[in-house]
Amino acid sequence: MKTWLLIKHELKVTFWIMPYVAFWVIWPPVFSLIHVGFSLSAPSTATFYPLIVMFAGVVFFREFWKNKNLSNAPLEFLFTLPVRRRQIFRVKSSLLAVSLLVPFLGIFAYNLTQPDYKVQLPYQTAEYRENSKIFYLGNFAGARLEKADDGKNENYIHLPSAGNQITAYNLGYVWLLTLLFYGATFGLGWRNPFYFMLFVILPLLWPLGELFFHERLVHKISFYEYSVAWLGRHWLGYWAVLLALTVIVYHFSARKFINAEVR
Amino acid sequence: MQNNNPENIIEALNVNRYFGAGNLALGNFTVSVPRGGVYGFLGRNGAGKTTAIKIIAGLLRPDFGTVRVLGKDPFTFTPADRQRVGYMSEKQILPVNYRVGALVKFCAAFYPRWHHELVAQLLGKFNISCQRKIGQLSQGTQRQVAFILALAQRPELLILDEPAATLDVVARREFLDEILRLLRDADGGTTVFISSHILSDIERIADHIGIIAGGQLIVSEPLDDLAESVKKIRFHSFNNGAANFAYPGAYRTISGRDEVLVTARVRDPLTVAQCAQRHGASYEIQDLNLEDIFYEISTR
Repeated sequence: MKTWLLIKHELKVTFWIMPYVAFWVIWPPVFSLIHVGFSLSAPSTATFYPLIVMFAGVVFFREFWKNKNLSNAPLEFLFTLPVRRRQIFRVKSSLLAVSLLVPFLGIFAYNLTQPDYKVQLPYQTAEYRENSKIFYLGNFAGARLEKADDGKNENYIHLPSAGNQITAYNLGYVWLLTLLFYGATFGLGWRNPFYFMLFVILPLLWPLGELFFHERLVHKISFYEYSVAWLGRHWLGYWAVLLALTVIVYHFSARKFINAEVR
Repeated sequence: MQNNNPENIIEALNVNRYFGAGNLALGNFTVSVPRGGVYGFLGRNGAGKTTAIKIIAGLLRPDFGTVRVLGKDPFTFTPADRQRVGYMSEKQILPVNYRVGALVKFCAAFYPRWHHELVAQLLGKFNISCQRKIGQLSQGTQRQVAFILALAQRPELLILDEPAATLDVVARREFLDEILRLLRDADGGTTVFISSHILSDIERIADHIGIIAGGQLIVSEPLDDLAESVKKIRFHSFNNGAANFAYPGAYRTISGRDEVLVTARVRDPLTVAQCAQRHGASYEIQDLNLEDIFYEISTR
C-alpha cells in the first residue's frame, strides 16, 4: 500500500525527469549500433549530436537553475513521512532503473528477433579485409564467408547469432550507465552540481570517444565490435563483474541515501 | 544515554554539530523538554535553532552528543515513531505539482490517527481550495497547508520551526488558536516545540522557554518563572553618586549620572534592597515582557 503510494508520488513529482535521462542514455548506443557497429551506410552521428546536446542542454539548464536541483521532490518532505528511508530508496532506484531500461526494449526486441547479421568486409586495402575476415570468423559463432551474387569482389561475412551478442552487450552497457546514475543520484545527491554535470559531460564525451574508436573511411574493426566479440568469449566473467558492480553500487547508493541529512 | 526522565519528551545532552571545519553550529547543546504544553525555543539569527530542530526531528545527525526524542534516537525512528512526531520546517517545501486535495489524501494514508474533519475545517477557515496546485499558492498559504498537514496527524510531539514567519496577523492568530485547540483536545497528551521570532506569539502560548545563543542553551525554564525573576531595576537618588555601583550577576547595567538601570535575575527582592542600601540608593523594580527579557539575555 505504502510502496504503491510512494511509486505514485515519485511518478508525480520526479518522473518528468526520466524521459530526459532516457533521452541522454538512449542515443549513444543507438548511434553506436547504427553507425559504428555493423552498418556502413548510417547517417553521421556528428549531424545529430549538436542538435541533441543543444535541446537537452536547454531543458536541463532551465530546470536546474529554476529548482537548483534536478528533482522537485524534496527529500525533507519524504523523510518526515512515516516510511522507512530504505523503502523510499527502493522505490526511487527501481523507477530509475526501469526508466533507463525501457527505451532499450525496442532495440533488444529487434536484435533478438533478427539475430542474423551480414557484414561487408572493407575493400580499401587487402590487409584490412584480411584482418576483418579473421576477426569475424574467429570471434562469432557460426560465422561464414559469402561472395557477392553479382560477381564483384565484395566479400560478406554472415553472422547468424551476432544479434544476441549485441543484445547482451547493450544490456550490459545500459546497466552500467544505470549504475552510474544510481551512484550519482544517490551518492552525490540531486543538489550536487556534479550530478548535473553528468548529464552534460556524458553525451559530450560519447561522440569524441566514438571518433577515437572508429576509423570510418577504411572501416577497421571498431572498439564496439571488439567489445561485442570479447563479450561472446567471456560471458561468465562479464556477467560476474556486472553483478558484483551492481551489488557494490546498490549498497553504496542505499547507504548514502539512507544516511542522507537534510540541511 | 538512557532516557532517564520519562517526563521529558525531548532530551539532548552535549550535542555538537559542525558544518565544515571550524563552523560550529551547536556546541554542548543540552536541553530537556517536559511532556505536555508548549516549549518556546528562542534565539537570534544564526544561534543554532534550526540545526537543533533538525537534529531533534531526525533530519540531521549530531557530530557528538546524544539526542532522545520519545525515548529514542530520532535519526533511527521507525515509521511507527514517525507517526508520533509532526514537523513543519522553516522553509517547508511541499511537492509543487500536487493539488492541495491530492496532497492531503497522500499524507492521510500514512497516519492512522489522521483528523479528516479538522483538515476540512481548517482548509475552509483559511480559504484554501482543494483544487489549487501547491505551486500556485503563495508562500504564506503553502505554510498554512504545511501547518494543517502537521496538525492533522494528531502527533504526540509537534515541532514547528518559524511556523508563522510569512503569515499575516489574522492567519497568525488563527494559527495560534489551532495550536491551543490541539493542546486542549489532546488533554496534556501533546507537546509543541516551537521556534519563532515573533515573541508576542510565543508569550501567548508557551509554558516553557528555551533561549539558545552561540549554539548553547543559556536559558530553559517555565515562562512564568522567567517573567517572575528577570526584572529591570532602576537605582536612583544615590547618596554618594553612582560611580562605583555594581549589581552582581546583572545581564546589563546602564549607568547614568544619578541613576543606574540594571537588568538581572531577582529571585529575592531582599537582595535588591540590600544592594540599594549598600550604595545608599533608592530603587524601583519593573516587570519585563518576553521580548525585553529575550533582548536582555541574548545580548548580554
